[in-house]
Amino acid sequence: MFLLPKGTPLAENVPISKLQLPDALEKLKNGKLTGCAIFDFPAADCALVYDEGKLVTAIVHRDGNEIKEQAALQSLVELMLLASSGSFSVYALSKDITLAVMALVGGPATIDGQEIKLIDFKALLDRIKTEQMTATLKIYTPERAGLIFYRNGATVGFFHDASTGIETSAGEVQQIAGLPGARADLRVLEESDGFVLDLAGLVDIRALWETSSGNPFATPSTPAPTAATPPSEPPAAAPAAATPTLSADEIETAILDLANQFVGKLGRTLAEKELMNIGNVTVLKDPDKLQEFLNAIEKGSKLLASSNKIKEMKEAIAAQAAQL
Amino acid sequence: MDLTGFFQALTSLFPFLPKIYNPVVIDYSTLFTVFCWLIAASISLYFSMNNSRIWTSIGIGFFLLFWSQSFQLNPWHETFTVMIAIHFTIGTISILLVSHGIQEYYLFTRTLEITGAKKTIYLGTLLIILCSILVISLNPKPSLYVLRNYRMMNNTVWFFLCILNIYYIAKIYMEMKDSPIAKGIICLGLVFVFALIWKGSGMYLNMYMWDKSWLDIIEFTGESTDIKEHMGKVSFARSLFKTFNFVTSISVAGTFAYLFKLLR
Repeated sequence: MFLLPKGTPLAENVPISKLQLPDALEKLKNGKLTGCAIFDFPAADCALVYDEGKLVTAIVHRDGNEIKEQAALQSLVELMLLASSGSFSVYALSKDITLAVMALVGGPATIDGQEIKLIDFKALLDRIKTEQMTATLKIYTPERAGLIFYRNGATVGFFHDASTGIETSAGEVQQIAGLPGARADLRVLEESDGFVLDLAGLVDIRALWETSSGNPFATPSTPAPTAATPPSEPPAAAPAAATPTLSADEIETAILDLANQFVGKLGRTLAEKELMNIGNVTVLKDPDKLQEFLNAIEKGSKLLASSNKIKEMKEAIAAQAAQL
Repeated sequence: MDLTGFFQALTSLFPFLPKIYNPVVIDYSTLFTVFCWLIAASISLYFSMNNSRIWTSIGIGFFLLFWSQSFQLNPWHETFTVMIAIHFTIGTISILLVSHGIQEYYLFTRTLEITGAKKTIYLGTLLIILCSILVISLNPKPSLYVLRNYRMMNNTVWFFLCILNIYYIAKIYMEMKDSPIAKGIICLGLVFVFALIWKGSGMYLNMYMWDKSWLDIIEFTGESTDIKEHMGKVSFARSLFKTFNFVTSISVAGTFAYLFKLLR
């Protein structure tokens, strides 16, 4: 069972037909997401793990196989273009849980499909603690699954297939461990992961997307994947597309900063969510879409800030959008 | 304060009102507390009308709390025991509405989704009140025992929902502590701390049968009570009940005025 934790939802069950993958990933990057983006297709699942906007791990589960990292991104583009339906969700997670999820998605399996009753659990927990592992212990049966997250040997949260968020008690996961035939996987984050590659810097998603979707004007500047590209450098985009994309990104960042400034952290999240709902920042050129976006932000902000502040924020956002 | 003359004049002005036979004497502290609830109710109702949908449940809830408290000024309540039952039921509905609003607020901070309409809340509340009145009216006239049960239900529901509300408000605050309204949310949390003490002390007196309504009942039945052996605890609980009834009403009025200022 492919199970990833759900934290604070930033977008939930957005139909993939409404999604422009490169724009969506840009937003996650610019929004400095720490958490994961989950794509749910009829015949496959994909997860992208972000750490402060850096795409640190990608995985696709398809036909019982796992495809990872750059190949997973390529596979995601294909799935997005070929699948007739599917949904997209983004969840913000704490740094501790994100590191444990990185272990779950990309780390090597220290224990792989071992039957629970054959494991000396006390010794295993002692080992996690003494070796200060950052890891995820997955306990599962064919019907159910639960996760226990560890950061530097300490338990930082629990999650199971019926959870709506990270839990602080082991109750339900313990019950799963007690089911007949329950098995466990332990995936550990490798020590060498202090310097984490940004996958978005290795694969030019926009070029890949435009090429795959058959845009004859797209000119992929870097063959994907290009392992030699420094991870911190942004992907070199096609010259024709570079200027407007960069400008839109700057404006989007400015809009998010304005929401943060006037309404606080939740205001920023609200703006990110509403931008995601309307598509991308470039559609704000359309006055109707801009109004729709401002109204949506206002509706939520009424619970967080004064009318005067909301009015000022709307004016400031409208001024930013006018530069598009 | 003797209001017999005022109510007799009222009944002569509106002949359909039941006649007043007993003197209507209301002490100043009761009058002042109900007045505070009236101020709190007016501010919260006005607040609910001009604000986001989620505040509607919270605002109406506090308005209904005034309605439930106003029975102390109702000169007919001793004659028509059905009215007291209705007052207590409305008091219970009020905390259900407030808790509903607070849970929706928490849901908003986690999902940033607001669904539903103000009209649904207004109509839903009206429907629940009408159903409650209907159920009370269809049943036998409440005896003093039954009325005491209504009072205990009210205190118990308030007590436990206050605990839940304090928990949710703490979680809401954690989610939005950098928002301009965050201090107002802390004030709302304080209201529930005061209400918890108010209703908790009332529930305590009910549970150990040291409340006035039980003492009134046994005055006629001749049953014994152990109240004299525990007068210290009883006096303390009674003083908490009275003080925090007043403090809660003041804090609700103050909190909504402050929230109004923050959201203007």
